[in-house]
Amino acid sequence: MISVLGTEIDLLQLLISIGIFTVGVVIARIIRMTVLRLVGKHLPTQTEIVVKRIVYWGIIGVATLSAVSNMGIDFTGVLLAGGIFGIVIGFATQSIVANLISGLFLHIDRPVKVGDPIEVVDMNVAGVVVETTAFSTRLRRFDGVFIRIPNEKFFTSQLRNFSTHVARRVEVTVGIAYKEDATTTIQLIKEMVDKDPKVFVEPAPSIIVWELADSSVNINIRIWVASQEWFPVRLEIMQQLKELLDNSGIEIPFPHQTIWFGESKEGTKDTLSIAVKEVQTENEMKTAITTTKKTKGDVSTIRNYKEATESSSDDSDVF
Amino acid sequence: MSSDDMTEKVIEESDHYGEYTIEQKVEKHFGPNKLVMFRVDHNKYEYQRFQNGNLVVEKILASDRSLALGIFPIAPINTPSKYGSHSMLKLLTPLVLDPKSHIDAYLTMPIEIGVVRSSETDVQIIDAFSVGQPKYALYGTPELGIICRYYETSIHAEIPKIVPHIEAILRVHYHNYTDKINTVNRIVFPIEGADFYYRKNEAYYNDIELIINHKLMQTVTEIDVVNAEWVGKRTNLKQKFDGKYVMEWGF
Repeated sequence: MISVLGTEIDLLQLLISIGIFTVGVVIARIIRMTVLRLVGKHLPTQTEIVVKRIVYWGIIGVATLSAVSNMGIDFTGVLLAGGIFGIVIGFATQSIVANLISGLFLHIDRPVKVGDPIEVVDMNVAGVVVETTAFSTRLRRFDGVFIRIPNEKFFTSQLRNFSTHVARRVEVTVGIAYKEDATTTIQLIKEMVDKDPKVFVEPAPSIIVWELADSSVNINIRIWVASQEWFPVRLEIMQQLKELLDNSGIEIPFPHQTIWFGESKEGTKDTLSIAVKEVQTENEMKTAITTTKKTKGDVSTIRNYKEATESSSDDSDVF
Repeated sequence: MSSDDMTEKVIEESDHYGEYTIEQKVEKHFGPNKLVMFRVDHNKYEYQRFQNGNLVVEKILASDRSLALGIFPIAPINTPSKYGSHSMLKLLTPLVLDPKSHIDAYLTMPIEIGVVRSSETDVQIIDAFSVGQPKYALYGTPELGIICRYYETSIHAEIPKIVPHIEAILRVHYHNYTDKINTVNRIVFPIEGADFYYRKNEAYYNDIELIINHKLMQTVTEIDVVNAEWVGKRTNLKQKFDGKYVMEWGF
């Protein structure tokens, strides 16, 4: 019999406890190797180290407690204190553990890999994935700024990966004036995209009249390209479209409106045209009022001019 | 004909495939591309490519020995960028195969021209360009499909005339082992790393076995690229090549 921490322990019990601990160490090593073989190749190096330590030291801890309990040492108080301490630590490290677990699931789910251009929609962040660790995913924003996103937030966010698929569609809409021939324009655009080696033959490009809009006939262009070429091709197509339409004399109209003021009493259908005219004297103002009094809009406009003129101290140089 | 004689002859004709020792300034023309190779000093050489008169590629090559550069037909997957490793030949006239039938036919396919530096231990393509207009197509779906170099071609019973520096000839052995009539509209086959055969300005690809059979109650088209015995030299680029492919998205 020997005395340990005030407890008398049988030598046989001590040997059994040492045996339990030794077996625990062996089992810990076997399980660590097995876990690494099963999931290790799917994990990055840092995560692999963390998983390895958690598995190994978890089993060693259980083996140690079993060995000590076998010797009759009462660990109730220690376990109770440990339990309370564990709860405290658990609350304190909640986010760390959540990030770690999210990191593990990210490596299983694999929505992104290093080098992928992505957008984290919920966080309004876009960039290239540069590293995925156990606790965070690191991005290089397209402007070069480093962004670290905790794995918990990254895992629960909506992601857009721009390079998962081998091909993507570029969609561009261009408006032409109503006076232009839409069929000819479509043919010209088709010839333009056919010349571009980056634009796929299959799926075939789609160039159609998409909308008869307020100011323009909108032509929609949909072409398929390799994913890595999406952005360059979109820029090129916009530039080429502008040059093509300019060189072909096809108008790209800006938004405009024609205001209709109805018919006059004589049945003529004059529309309003406003001319800014510099009026030097009161007589010129009166002439302008008389000339343009035929339509309601003009009267209103001129009345304002007149009021402004009358309220001014100097009548001669209001406009 | 010795290799020296052949070099002289090719320089005169200026647009043949082959391997050239850079003893003097060499100029060669391939469509709008002009290749210029010359010795800078005792162990440096310069390679330049002009396209429509504009310098687009310039490289200095260092070698303690005399430098030889190969100008060969290569797999058409490098221009304007590398998107995939397969070629898709769309048959302008579809081929209707009877049940249990076999037919051999010739097609043409696109090529690119590679400028190749070979040493005893390594082979590197130092420049690749396309004389024709390259086009690509997606075979399959965006998530699982592959991007292929696309070319439209016709079926020929005899060896067809090709457009030099743009096309190569290949022979396809069609086998329909099913009890159904099958129509072949396209052939998709692996091409990255494959060698070509060349003679003057003509290029030849390997033979292709297109096998239509039943597997797991489905009609499957298996492609097997096999070595051919064309009259001409083989490029021997010593690249890894896997010539088998299953056209799972239809033919």
